[in-house]
Amino acid sequence: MRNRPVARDLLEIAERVFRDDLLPALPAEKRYPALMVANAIANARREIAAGEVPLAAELVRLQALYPDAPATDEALVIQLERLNRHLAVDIRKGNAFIDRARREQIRTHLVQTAIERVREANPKYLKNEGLE
Amino acid sequence: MGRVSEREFSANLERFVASEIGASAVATRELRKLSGGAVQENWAWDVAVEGGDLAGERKWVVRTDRASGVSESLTRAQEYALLLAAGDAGVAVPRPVALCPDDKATGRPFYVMERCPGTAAGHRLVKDEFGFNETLTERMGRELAKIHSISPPRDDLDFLGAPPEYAEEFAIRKFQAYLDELPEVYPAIQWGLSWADRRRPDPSGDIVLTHHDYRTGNYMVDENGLTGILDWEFAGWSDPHEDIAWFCAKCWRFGRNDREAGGIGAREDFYRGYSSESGREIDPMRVHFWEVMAHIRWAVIAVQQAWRHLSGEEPNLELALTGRIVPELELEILMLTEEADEGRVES
Repeated sequence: MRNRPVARDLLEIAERVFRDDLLPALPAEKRYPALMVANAIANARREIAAGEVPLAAELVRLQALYPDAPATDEALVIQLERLNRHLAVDIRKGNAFIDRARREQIRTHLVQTAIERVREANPKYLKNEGLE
Repeated sequence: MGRVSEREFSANLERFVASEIGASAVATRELRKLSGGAVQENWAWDVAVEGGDLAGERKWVVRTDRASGVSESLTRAQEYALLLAAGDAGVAVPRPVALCPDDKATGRPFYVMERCPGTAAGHRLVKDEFGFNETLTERMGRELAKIHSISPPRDDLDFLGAPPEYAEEFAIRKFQAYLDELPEVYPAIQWGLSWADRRRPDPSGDIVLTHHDYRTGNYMVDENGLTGILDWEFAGWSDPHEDIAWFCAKCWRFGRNDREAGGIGAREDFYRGYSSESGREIDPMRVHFWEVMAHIRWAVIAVQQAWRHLSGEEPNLELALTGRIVPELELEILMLTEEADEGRVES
């Protein structure tokens, strides 16, 4: 258990103060860098809020694509990196396109992974696209 | 400025340019750095010119190299040659004033051109503040056709190298090589490249000067219309559909997805302008191929920019945030390749 407020709470209030109080007080030529700062804070806040849930889901999907890959107790990111390398090689070699079912399984995984990342990076995009 | 102070920089500019344009003196009214430009530095330079053909008050832009550039970008001297060639072909470009191809005058190569009035800001242009975007869309098609009227071989543009015999294959190989150099894997971008490799059209045999960054955000517009096409540093020889697709690609519509031509207008208006000026018929299947390639290209460049920040080479918030655009582009690659596989883009 971490001491409250946790990182997410701090970023949320910092973003609000930045947008509501600081941004309007800045000269016009500082507006663009200031908006970038607000965007960076919002990105970090959403990533922290999502935690490891999307990474764990990505790993489950990759393990379903590669059921024969040996199970390990390595850190999540290490396992993800290795399986993603497999996947990239398979796609490049054309193994991903051998039959329709395999192709669909891989594509569904890639779409899901991209959606989970866009949800953290730019949730408005998903709404505009009707994907959420 | 690094090596020289800003005052020294403007004094060096004044001396060099005065002698280049045959003026008795050039006096700086104002020199200020313009924002934007991941590859170059741009300075707005207001001057009073004494004597010579350009005597009077002038508003110019000075364009210099930045500390680090991306691998495929041209030098300032090459960009200057392109501005001259495009101007001769009747393309709306800022008029070149003077070029310093080496470090002698200011410590970095640079050139000076006229400053086009208006704005290039994509988020403003898509709002159609002046109410002429339909005409502008057609005009952008016409201007692109004029750029494409320049074809190889050209002695003045020999730095562009030999034109590719098979532009589609050339582009696939290039972006595969860039992807292979990245420190992490990107399966969705690889998906797009593998699709492109299986679906590439036959060579068209039609190779022209392509701007390679012809999009909303890279041309200036004021209340009278288009004032100039900027950012020539990626130009090369390729199939004309590559530029058409880049202009129409969803990633350059600034949120106005209903206006497929650069967020400013209808694709048909852009195509009409292009075809009436060039006499070329646009092939929708080729445009689709190059739209997939457009998202692949922008995704790879975005990852490269993020790594310029991450590597410590150039700590920069804009570069860092560009890395967060990549998943959107990946999603678009997956959507575009599915449409084509389902046969919805037949024509």
